[in-house]
Amino acid sequence: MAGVHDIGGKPGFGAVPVDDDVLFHDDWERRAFAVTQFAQGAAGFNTDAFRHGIEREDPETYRSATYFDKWIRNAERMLVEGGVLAPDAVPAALRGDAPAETPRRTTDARPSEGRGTIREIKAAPRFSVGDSVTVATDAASAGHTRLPDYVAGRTGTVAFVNGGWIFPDTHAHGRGEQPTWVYAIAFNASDLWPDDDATHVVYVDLFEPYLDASSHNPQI
Amino acid sequence: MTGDHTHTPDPADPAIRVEAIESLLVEAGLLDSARVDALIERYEHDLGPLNGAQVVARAWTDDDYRARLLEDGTAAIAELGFSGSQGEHMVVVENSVDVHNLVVCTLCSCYPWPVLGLPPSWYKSPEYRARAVREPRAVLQEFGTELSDDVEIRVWDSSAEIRYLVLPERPAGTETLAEEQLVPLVSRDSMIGVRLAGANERA
Repeated sequence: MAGVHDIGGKPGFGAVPVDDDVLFHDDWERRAFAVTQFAQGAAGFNTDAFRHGIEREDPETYRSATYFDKWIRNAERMLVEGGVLAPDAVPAALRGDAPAETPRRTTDARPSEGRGTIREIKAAPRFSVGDSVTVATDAASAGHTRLPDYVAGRTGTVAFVNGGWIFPDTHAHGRGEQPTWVYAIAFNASDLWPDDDATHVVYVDLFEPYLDASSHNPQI
Repeated sequence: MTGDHTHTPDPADPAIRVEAIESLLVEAGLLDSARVDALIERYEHDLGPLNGAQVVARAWTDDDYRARLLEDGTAAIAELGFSGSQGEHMVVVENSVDVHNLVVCTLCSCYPWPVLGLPPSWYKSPEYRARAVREPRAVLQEFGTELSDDVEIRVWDSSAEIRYLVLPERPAGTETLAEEQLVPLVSRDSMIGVRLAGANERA
């Protein structure tokens, strides 16, 4: 089942708020942007674990909270799970009390030694440009993933082989980098949404474990 | 405001929580508020779409540079001094008479910070994230951008760590302009792909 954040192609969304063109609406949003990045560093969270933190927001809150509200909620979550703040530290501070509990690290997610996220891979890529591939349907079953639900189970064509990268699905959970090839896969919109009468092409960067060879040729 | 100065701060107010978290980190010796100020300054003022506009104007006036930019975006952008977080792996996609490119991040809000700065609110909106991949023509129309039916639209969903920059078409009638005169014609929106360069600019 797709997470609350996984909204690509989902129906029911209205007009784009084209005129909401600012980077920040208020000074607290500026501070939320910066403080959350420092909180990530203090808590020792890698980027994948950071993203997974936002995705674990209560679904109702995810839908209703503003963008930077979700960031500052994630700052608190990372600081607590990273053992920097006690679980009740922020509520206690707002009441003017000292926290009753002691901070304790509860996550294995760690930063990736400041080396970025691209990695040399000795194994040859499993797919080549032009190959037909079908996307898994079950990769999004648990935890963090960068497999958008709208391409799950769909067939596309390898447009680019993009090199080797840390695998977010393990890295977000402290299960190691497990570097894997990444491919830009081209999907015909008519294969993604057959009832739409659309003719565009959607390119999605997908990690090799999400993909399988396909005998079907979507002819992009 | 109620005028009641004795009430407990509302824990649901994000502004209050930001302040509380910043104070806790400062008290713990983990953060200096001057570093918060400096980070905001850098991302709000030092980085921005003027960087990307310089890349595009160079590509419009220098065919060798354009070829390098399309071959290895990261290296060609670094030639102009732009690199760093969220721009480590850049791919530049070129618009033409036949092809129009549009960039989105459906899962979160990935965006090429070194060349465009931070994303505007609408780019992070659920409406843009949900609809850009499925109905790009309708989304483009909301930005006032009408494309001919025979133009192929390519939507790039930045779902991994590669970041995309659109190389818009050089506007007609600008053949005599020099590189620095072209820079102001390259809007941020044209490098995301929601508008054309030199067209229907924001007021």
